[in-house]
Amino acid sequence: MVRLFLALVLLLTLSTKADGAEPKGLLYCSESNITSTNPQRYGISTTASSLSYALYDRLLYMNPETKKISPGIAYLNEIKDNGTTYIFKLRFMGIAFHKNKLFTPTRLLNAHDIAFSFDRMINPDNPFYRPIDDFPFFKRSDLANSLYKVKALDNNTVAFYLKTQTNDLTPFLASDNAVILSLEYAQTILKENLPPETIDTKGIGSGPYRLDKYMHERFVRLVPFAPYHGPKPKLPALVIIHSNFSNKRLTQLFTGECHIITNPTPGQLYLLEKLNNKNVKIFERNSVIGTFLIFNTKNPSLDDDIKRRTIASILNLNEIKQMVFFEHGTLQSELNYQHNTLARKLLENYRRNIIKNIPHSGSLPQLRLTTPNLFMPLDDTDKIKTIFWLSKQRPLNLYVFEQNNLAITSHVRIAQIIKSNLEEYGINVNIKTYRTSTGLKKMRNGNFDMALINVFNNYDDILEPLVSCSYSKNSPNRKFFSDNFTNWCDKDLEDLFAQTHKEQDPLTEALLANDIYNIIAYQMPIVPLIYSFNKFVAVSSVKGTQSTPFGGMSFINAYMEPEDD
Amino acid sequence: MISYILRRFMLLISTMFVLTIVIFWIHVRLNPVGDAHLLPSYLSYTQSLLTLNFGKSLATGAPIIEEMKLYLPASLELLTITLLLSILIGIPLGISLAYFHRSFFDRSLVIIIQICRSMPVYWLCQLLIVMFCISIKIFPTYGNLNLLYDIENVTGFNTIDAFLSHDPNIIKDMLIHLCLPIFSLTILPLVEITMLSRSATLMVLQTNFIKAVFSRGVSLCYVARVHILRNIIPAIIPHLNILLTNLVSSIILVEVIFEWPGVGLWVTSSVTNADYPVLESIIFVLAATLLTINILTEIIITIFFPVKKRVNIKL
Amino acid sequence: MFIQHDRKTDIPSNTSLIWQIYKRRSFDVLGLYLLITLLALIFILPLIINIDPYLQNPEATFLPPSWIEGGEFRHFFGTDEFGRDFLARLLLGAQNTLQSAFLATLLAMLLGSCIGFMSAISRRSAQRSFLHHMFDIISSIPSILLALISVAIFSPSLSHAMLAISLSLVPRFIHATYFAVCHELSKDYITSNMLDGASYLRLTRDTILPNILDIIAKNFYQGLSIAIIDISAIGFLGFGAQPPIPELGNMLASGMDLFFIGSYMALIPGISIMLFVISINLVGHGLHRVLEAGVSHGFSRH
Repeated sequence: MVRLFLALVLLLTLSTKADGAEPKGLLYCSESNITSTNPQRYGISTTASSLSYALYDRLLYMNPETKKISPGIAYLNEIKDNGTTYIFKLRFMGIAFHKNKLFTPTRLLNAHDIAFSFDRMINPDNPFYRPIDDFPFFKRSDLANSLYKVKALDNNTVAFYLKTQTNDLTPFLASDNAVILSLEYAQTILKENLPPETIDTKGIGSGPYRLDKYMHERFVRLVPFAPYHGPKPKLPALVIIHSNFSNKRLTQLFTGECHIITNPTPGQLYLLEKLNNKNVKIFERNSVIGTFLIFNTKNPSLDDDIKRRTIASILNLNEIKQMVFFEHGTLQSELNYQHNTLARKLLENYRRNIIKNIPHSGSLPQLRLTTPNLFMPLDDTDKIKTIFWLSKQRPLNLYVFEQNNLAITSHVRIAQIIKSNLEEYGINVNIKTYRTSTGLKKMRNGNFDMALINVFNNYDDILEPLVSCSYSKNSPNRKFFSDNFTNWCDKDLEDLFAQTHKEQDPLTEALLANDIYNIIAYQMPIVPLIYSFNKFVAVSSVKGTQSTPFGGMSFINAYMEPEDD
Repeated sequence: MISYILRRFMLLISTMFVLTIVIFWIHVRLNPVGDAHLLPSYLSYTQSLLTLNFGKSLATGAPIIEEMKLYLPASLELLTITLLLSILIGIPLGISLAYFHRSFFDRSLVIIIQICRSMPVYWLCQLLIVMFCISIKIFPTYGNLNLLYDIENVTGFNTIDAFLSHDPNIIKDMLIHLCLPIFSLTILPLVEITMLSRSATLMVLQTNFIKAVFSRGVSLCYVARVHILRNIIPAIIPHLNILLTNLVSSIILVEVIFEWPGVGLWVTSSVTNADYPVLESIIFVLAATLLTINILTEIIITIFFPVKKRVNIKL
Repeated sequence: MFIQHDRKTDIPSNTSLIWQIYKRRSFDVLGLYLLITLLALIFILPLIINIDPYLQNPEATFLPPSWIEGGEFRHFFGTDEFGRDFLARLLLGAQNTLQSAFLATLLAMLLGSCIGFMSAISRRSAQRSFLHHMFDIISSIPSILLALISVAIFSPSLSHAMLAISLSLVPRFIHATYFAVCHELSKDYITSNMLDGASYLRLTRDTILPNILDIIAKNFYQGLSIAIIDISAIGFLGFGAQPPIPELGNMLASGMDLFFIGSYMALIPGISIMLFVISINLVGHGLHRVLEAGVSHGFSRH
């Protein structure tokens, strides 16, 4: 018995010393949850973004830096009928779909596939139709109300029919969530009598990698698809993993079980800086997680803008930045042109105009462009009167929603800092923690005073869903935090937002943005606390990755260099 | 004896009945139902439970039965390997401890066993991860197989599938992933079985017939195998039920720490996601299985080790 | 003349008899000293040191323990990522865990012993069987699963975890008390007391209870060590005491994240759990020996 055991132990140690072939491939550990293999079913998430570029193709392409839209597998041919009909033509034939155990494609991609992919989101007669809440990204754009038909005019051409003129179709088609599914696969699913969800859990696309295995909320395993129409995929295997322990991801980076980790927590970033390992690189992205404090404006303690601005002025945001984010967040007042694409466009415009007028390169006058401060100054007497009045009211409830992390809830810490800031002035605050689903229910019913939420978006688009009322017209079932729970609307603000959607000239856009900020700063239904820009950490043997517009990673040109010891 | 077995079956059925009431109570707490509909919804709910029609999971929309077929085999692997190892190592170890009673070997091992008994499983896992995965990189920190490997899903059991793939790299990878969870799980049942068999053997060694056997001049192994083993089993088996229940608790913890894709991880994530159908089905399956095993062990003991034939010692 | 050596036969008092029997195993004495030291540490030391375990100090984050370079004496074990003193949190966490475990076991003991007792003395077999097996369902559901159920129904908090663990401990008390009381009731002195006309209450108080005390004490200390480990396990999973309330389980979990900075934060809560459980086991074992000696006239089994 003992001899057997010793033999087993010896076998193990010997075999670990023996040179076994290391498995080849890339392990990408994502912090956002993997709920489906079809990006249409996600909101904005880094996983959906990376999946979209790995598994599928999109009609148009958006440059992540400049946000300029260029043709993908199709190009915009013409716009008819006063901007309510868009016609797209495929750029080339020869795009092949993947095959799996259920399905082998018999034809290449054509316009009918494109029509099907969007038809399933809008047409209730389509067998794969789901209520609009299951397509969070589509629901959020203006198109949900306005797009009513998508038709393939012939094998190469597809037409989109809208009810009203809008600027949003091309950005939507270039986004990571607007992917092209296979109509033939859908027909095979129906023929085999499988549930329609199969198109989302065993997805077939036309991207460089095809789906091998999917385990809900754990991992997605992808293998290369050689007949891809673009650059040949170079990774032998690509696995996107999600684990509920965000804290272990850093350890896994160092033990070699993850090659890339996304969005490390501030504590982990601090550790990385301290360790200063040469083998590890940190990339920063354009998408941002914003933490906001939202007020319920129906509450008598918060119904006046002076009361809200008073509370906002008492908060010590530097403390939050230092103690919760270890100096790795950006306050609203610290945002500069690097983060704001609008300001960048203005700067480019300005530089180009200046250079035209100056014959030789001398010293260019510096243009300081900072985002306007979102805090309007408050009259001192007003402030003192309001503080005194607020301190006599009943305590305010501050709602905090649990995240999936184990024992680390940074929102609880932020809430404690806010509570201690307010209690210094005598305003009482109770912190209540809720699970996300219960909390959303309470917020929908208007059952809260103040709440702390996290919103993930590009910096440019982050404010609009939180303060605009027209977004919520799409459905009464708001499932995500990026929505207006404040019970506050302003007609002028809505008009301004509508104008920005139609505007092309950056200068006018900047003036509109200024007006928007002014209104928000004056009324203050939300307080932007801190923004943390998304970061990736990768081992140095991973090369060739590119960023996607919504914070994910594109592996089209990625490859792994063998490590030289 | 037949009447005893029948009474035990009656007990099993009545406890199953109480189990369905308890699970229905949990169901009603989580999805409130009006008072008038209480009885009909109880009947339909119990019927669907007993026919294993668990409904669909709220998180994925897939039928719970399908998901259970994915997750249950991994937990069963851990459970069977742990039980086998702890019985195969524990009983001989306990007998040998009793043979060398009050020697240095015995005393030191008893002290080590007391320390192991008071060590929380999750802390042991963390220690092992820290020692063997981070400082010395032998074992991996999570999962049951390196995800870059691809194995055919023949039986659903990862260990068997890895062997069937005939690739030594994959087999070695699977074994390495298996080591740490099994090691941290076996320690507690092992020490329990060792202490139980040690105290039972000490009792048996004081009887006259064992002394007579020793006086015949046979070896210790022979005595252990032939005489002692069948006399200590009725002392050990009743404790196996409690052991099994604690083992299931430990499995849930270990699966969460090592991210082993089994039932434990599934049930904790269902609580976090408020996915109540999953929670209720898992409770039903686990509780029903443990209850049945409980009653079965009692029946087995009465059939194979009846009280008349037992050695007359106060066990 | 004959010198008479008066041998005064001292009849030892109860207390010194207890101590004499307890002293026979040196390990149990060691355990007793350890337990007293630990209890004094966690209950008396915070009053002396007087540092607030919730106070956050942004300037003094991630300080190492004072014996390593860079540590301050004021923060003896260093600070965590908020500048909260680790020693103060450890003491408060140990208090929380220990108090809730003790309360849970006490509740379980009271409930379980009453039910077991009543089932043992009842004459009708249906009632007896029902009371005995009433909680068998609970014993077949693993304790962690019970805690998960209570977290799903109620919200995660220390008191709900405590209730769940208390419920999971009740069956063992029922079974133990049932068997002990049945064994007692078959003895002759019970029958003679009943013939004398003693009511059940008098019987319980005078005869049965003192004789089953050793079984109850044994299950109590075993239950207490199980309760400590289970409550911190639930806290480790994140379903017990919510941060910032410190508790040994969730301190262990948050210590693992910061392992790269200091391993002591992950090791020390675990070592403290182990020390508590070992000392409680030793003291309980000794107490059980004492009570059993009182029952079976100084006959020691081991």
